[in-house]
Amino acid sequence: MVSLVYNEFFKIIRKKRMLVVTLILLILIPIFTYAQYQAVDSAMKQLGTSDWRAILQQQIIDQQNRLSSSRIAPEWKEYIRLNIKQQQYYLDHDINPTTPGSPTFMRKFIEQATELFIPLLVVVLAADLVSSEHAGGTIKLLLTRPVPRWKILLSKYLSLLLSISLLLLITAILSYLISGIIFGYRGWDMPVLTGFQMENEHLLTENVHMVPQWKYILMAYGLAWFSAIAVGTITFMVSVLVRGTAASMGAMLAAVVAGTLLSQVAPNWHELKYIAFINLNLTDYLAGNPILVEGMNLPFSLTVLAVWSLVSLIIAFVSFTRRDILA
Amino acid sequence: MKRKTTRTFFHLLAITSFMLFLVGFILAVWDLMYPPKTVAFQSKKTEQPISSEEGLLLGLGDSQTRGIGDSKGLGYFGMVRNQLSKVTHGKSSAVNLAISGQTSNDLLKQMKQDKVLLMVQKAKWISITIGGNDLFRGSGGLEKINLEAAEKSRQQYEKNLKEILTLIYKQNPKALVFIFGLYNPFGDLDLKETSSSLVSQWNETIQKVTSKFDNAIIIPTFDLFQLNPSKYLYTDHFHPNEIGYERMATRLLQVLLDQVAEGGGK
Repeated sequence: MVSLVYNEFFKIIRKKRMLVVTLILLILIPIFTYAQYQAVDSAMKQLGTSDWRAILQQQIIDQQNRLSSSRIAPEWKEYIRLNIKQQQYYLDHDINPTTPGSPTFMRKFIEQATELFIPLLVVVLAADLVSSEHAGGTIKLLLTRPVPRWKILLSKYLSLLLSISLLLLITAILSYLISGIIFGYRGWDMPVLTGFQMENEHLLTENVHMVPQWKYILMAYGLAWFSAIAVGTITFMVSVLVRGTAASMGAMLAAVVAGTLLSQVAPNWHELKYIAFINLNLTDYLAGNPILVEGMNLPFSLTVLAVWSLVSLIIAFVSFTRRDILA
Repeated sequence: MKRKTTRTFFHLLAITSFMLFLVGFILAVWDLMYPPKTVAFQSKKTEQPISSEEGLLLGLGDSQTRGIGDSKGLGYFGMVRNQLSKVTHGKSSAVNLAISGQTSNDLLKQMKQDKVLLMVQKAKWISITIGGNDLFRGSGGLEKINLEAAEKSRQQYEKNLKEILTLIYKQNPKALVFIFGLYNPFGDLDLKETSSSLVSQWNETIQKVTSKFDNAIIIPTFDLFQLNPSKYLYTDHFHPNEIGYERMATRLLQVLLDQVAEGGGK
């Protein structure tokens, strides 16, 4: 079994998918780094001060002014109001939320990337895991070996989990190394606030506590890893069911993108929360970002993702072991 | 043989990262579900001076300081800030804490926040526009001016303004405070006389309160908008437009730049 997994894992690496994904990261992370740098820089220039307290105070006031505009939708007003409360909290407790430093960038990057970017990369990795064996005709060779079919599929699945883990590790390392060139490599032990909770439009702060940044990053990547695995599992099922690489990749990409868009377009449509792709943004719970769709919280999202993953796995295994291989 | 070791390395790396993220995930879920009760919050008070050698300009008050009506979004405050930073070669800084729609009541409330007071302490110059919302809301709008209600809100305004200035000078006795006088945006409408006399009454109030503070300076604006209001007012017929703000900025700069020149010699 171990050697089967080992073998399958190297099929993924050898197929250059991993290399492509790494290249995408190598191109995009510098761009994000520069964007972040620009944002901090222009804020400083506009205010003529590098005092973050002044900047934060200014941001709060600016948002209060936005609130008074009548052209803003009520959901956005709530969002802004919660943001103001959170920023006021940072200010009152003398915590700088944007201390530059590459660990901070790592944290921000994964917070942004969990929803869409990482899932897309995972889809690229996993979309043709099984279907490519059909396309290449190698499936026959694989199945004529004296190993039960479920073992073959399981080894494929485990190797997928390994490569997703490797992908996240690469993301973490690259974003640390690249952004450090501009922001410097310090800031691992900076305190970060977590534990903001939302209940009926109120921001609850009683559970707020400080976590050193390294631990926060570990937790954020852990959550991102979980949602990446959920996406990977669903993609895995699709690659069993659908023969063509293009078809399975296209379907999964569309599903992931649509999920992200839907939650922004129709936050009042509550049934949406049962779709797995709406629940991918687990790091939001850690950061205390306002959740647009009502009734979502961490246990709920984890359950939805777990159920979807389990069902996908069952479908994948049943269909793979029963099907006649004709190709 | 070498290829084999790289393979094993990758394989081990993948397994390690799997374990690592699993630990992270469990930590995260644990932390979110059972947050530690110890709110270990010792806010470290490390006060750093704002990095501006020539001084800080602080804006307080209502939509005029915010710059509503200026198509470029600068307002008089933005214009003064730009000019100031040119003169001091970027060594000055400016923070705008004005909130549009504020009345003197709201400003007083805002002034009681710690961080706003901290800004007041650090400021060298403070520029304020306040009263417009008190006046034109408290008196029942322009169509039917209710003189009684106007008088009542004027008394409240007097009290608030006095308190605001006292608060500022308690924090920062050296600060120069510039208070913009009120103007009459309805000077070309039927009830011109009533509204104008009301505005002058309020301006007298500002004068009266301010005279008790040596370093508070009134910048009159009544004359600026008296003869041709539509030229200098925004389409809402209430806020100044770009040219209107420019004229306000010119007046403030006249006094302010004088001070900067003197202050530089010290």
